[in-house]
Amino acid sequence: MNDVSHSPWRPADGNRQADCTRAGLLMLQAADDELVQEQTAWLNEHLRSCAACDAQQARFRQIDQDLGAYGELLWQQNPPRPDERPRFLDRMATSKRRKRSVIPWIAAAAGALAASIMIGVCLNHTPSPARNRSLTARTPLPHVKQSQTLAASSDAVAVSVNHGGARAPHLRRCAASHAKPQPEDETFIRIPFTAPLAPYERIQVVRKNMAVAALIAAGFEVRVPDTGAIVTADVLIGQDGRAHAIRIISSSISNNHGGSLSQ
Amino acid sequence: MAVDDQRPISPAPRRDEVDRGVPSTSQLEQEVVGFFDELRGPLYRYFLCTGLSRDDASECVQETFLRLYRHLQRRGDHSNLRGWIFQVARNLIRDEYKSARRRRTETLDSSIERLSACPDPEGSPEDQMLRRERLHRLRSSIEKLTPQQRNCVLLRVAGLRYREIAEMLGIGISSVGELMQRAIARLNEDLYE
Repeated sequence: MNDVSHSPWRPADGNRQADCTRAGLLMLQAADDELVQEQTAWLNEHLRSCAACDAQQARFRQIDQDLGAYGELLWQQNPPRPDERPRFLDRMATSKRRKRSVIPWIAAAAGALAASIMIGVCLNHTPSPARNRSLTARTPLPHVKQSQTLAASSDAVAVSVNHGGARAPHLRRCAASHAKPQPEDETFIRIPFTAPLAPYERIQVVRKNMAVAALIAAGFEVRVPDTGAIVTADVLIGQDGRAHAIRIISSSISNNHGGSLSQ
Repeated sequence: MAVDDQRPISPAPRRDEVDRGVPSTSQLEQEVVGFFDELRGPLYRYFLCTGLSRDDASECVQETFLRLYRHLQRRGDHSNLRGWIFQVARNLIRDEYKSARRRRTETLDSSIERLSACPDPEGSPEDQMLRRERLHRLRSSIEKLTPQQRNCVLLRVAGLRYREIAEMLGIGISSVGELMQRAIARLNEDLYE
């Protein structure tokens, strides 16, 4: 075992301490050939007078040479690629181009996002004109008027409903299938004796022409001279496929004889 | 280190950059390339002697200096960039060993195995065998050192001067001397006693 307690870098106490410390630093520099002539002479003189430092110097030299040889052999066995530098320059240039192209990409992405939001908003608020189509909505279902009379037209059919408890959607979004905006009170009327819709039930609204007789069969009380009259109505269909409510479209009454519908 | 590609690095700096005193892209690249030319050799050796294969070591060298480039682009800390480079290198080694992408089954000692296969033009076959045996023991002894001692020793294996090792590790040269002294005592014990 070597004498580690005394070393040039951590010398024993005494007068030699400063000299041994200096000798330790000079040994490192000597290994790298960084000593000037005076320093070399001083180190040699110290090593002659200090056996511990001399022994340490010998061990240090041996190991240091081995480390260097080890590094050299690694290098010889695994020489670096000849194209390291051009490869690095290429990659650095690529990295620079990427950085420059980040801002345009961010702007493009933001523009695309804004455009898609605008398109979504327009699609939701500019419905197609009246035609037979079905719309679906997954919303908390809004309230239904429990008692209401809808004037189909000044001289035409009116539907009167008076039943309790049910909640039915007014579905303004679905009413978008109308060419003209609907009056606020033209809400859906729950079909009697049907189970109420669940709050978040998926629904469909289908516009179709219906015979007044069908309304009578559904439980509405209809007061019209001609039960064969045809009305256009939006039918709200629940997730179970059953009709839950209807909304008479005022402008589409084909009955000109006047009358009313009531439950 | 030999310069094997003399093409221009980048166009001249823009006028506004010069006016504002901002280091231009060209200056930045010059600085990075300067570090690359100076340190790629030692860094490559350092990666090799930690057990990385030739390709992985080469890739890590590239990645280290690309990170330096990005660091300087972001106007990161300029104090002791050599130390910064060495820290990045250590992080890369750690990541490399952690990475699931690491395909090789090579151990640290396998770098010595590769050395064993290398024909040594000097010395008799007996000398070569003794030398290889000593390097085997050297490698395994290095593994037993403390992390700081090992860093010093591996950087020395990589070919750095002690003054440079001190700079890279961010410590004084006398501290490097102490670490080396302890490391050498231990290596000496393993190798020669």
